[in-house]
Amino acid sequence: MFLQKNELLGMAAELLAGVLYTALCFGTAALLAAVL
Amino acid sequence: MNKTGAGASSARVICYYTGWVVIGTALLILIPLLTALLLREWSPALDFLIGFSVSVLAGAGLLLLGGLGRGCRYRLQWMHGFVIAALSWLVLMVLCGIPYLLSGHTEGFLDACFDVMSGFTTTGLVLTQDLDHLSVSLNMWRHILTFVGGQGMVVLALSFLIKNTGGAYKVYVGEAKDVELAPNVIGTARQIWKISMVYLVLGTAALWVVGVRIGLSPLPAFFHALFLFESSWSTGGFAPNSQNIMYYHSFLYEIITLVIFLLGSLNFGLHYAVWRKDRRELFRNIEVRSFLVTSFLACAGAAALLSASGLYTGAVAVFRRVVYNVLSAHTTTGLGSVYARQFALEWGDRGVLILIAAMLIGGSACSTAGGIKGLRVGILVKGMMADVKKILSPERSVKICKIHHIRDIVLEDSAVKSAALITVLYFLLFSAGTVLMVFLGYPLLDAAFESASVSGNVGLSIGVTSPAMPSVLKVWFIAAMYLGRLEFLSVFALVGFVIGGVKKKWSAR
Repeated sequence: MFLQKNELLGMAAELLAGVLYTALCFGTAALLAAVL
Repeated sequence: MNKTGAGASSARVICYYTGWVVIGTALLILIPLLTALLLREWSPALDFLIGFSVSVLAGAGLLLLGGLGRGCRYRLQWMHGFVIAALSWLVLMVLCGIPYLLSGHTEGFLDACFDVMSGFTTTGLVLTQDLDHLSVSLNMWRHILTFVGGQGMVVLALSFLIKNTGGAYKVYVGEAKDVELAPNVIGTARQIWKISMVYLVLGTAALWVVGVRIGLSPLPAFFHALFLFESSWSTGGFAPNSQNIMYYHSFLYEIITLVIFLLGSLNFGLHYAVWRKDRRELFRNIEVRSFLVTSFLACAGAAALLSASGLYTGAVAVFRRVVYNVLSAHTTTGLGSVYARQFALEWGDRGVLILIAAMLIGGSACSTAGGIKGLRVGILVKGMMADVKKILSPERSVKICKIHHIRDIVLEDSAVKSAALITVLYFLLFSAGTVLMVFLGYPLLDAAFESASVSGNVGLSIGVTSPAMPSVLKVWFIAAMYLGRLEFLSVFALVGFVIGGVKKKWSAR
């Protein structure tokens, strides 16, 4: 198999981290837009 | 004369390896050539055929100058690695610009060289005209250049084309990528390409689905997806249209490219560690922490400023117009969701200053990103804190400062000095560009913005970069992109090598 299980899990962890950070930034933008 | 390996002069060794790099890159031209033939773009096909022929001839000429038969016995020294990396980028800039020039979309060869250097260095500034009517094959070429430039094209060519790769690591370091993922350079190059290829398939598929959903036909949607992936992953900033990411009017398209360029700006060593098993590295790594802190502060600061000014209202508008651009600047991508002059006319001095700071800090070392790099910022902050602690501690106590970058590392003065040196050089490059533009008549803030974008290999523009700008500025931008990307030392080595050679010739007369 081209990708091993570990590599797939690693990629999933990276994607999750990327999405979570994007969500954090969106949440901050939403909060600031609402408050200011 | 300096002899290396089988009694060869340094010049021969450099010609030999540069020849292989040129041949390797010439082979890449076959991809847009094939694309042109498949899509029946006959005129661009001829341009690429000419570009391919000239590149192969130039590569063969360099190999002959380097003593083709004896090449496998050459031993690469550190100086060779640095000079080969720096020289290859210059030779390739000229050769890869041929299809641009022949396409008729650039005003002259200088503009063609500018766009090639912008692609190679993953900057993303554009002088090519009428982007919306470019052939698919030329777009393919533009985005391949930025993708391969981000991965490290010199080591790619060397590690796949020649058997004797013992010294290729030295070229790798010369290309500002001093990460060893595997015991040898072929293994490292393959790991980097494996990671990038997996993301290429995934990212292109995701963008293709969204592209079809927003109304693009399946084949154009595929090309747009492929180009935008290459541009985002390599933190390049090119797009196959003049409106950049705004062309798609899609929040989802922006989110996907945002996640791709966030991941693309991470250190390949970090990707490798996470893919192997060490997931905690994502949170422990000094570079990631540094990036999270500075990028979050920049995003929050810009969002607060532009929300309070009433320019953007609502969470979605603030995120798409402010956060997207700040993160694009910080990761040195350069995909933009507002028009260039909006930065100058609407964002105001404080908004532009935040972007300048983000662009100068940049992404991670040994990634596709440019700028001073999060690792150096982290090292400088840690070094400063260690010095303050030392002053406040009893004189006899010994304090050891550690940082975590893939593994725990004791922070030594040499690492702090090296980080400080590169940071100072970046600031000098940024300042020199700003001063030059101010003397050419541009407003100070515009000059500082464009200079930060060029020095940090970002690609966002405030409107200075255009085919009408003075030639001296185009040459400066090419030099600044080149210096910023190779992180100075390789270019200095090349200049020293040339000056040394000229001096020897002069004294031999």
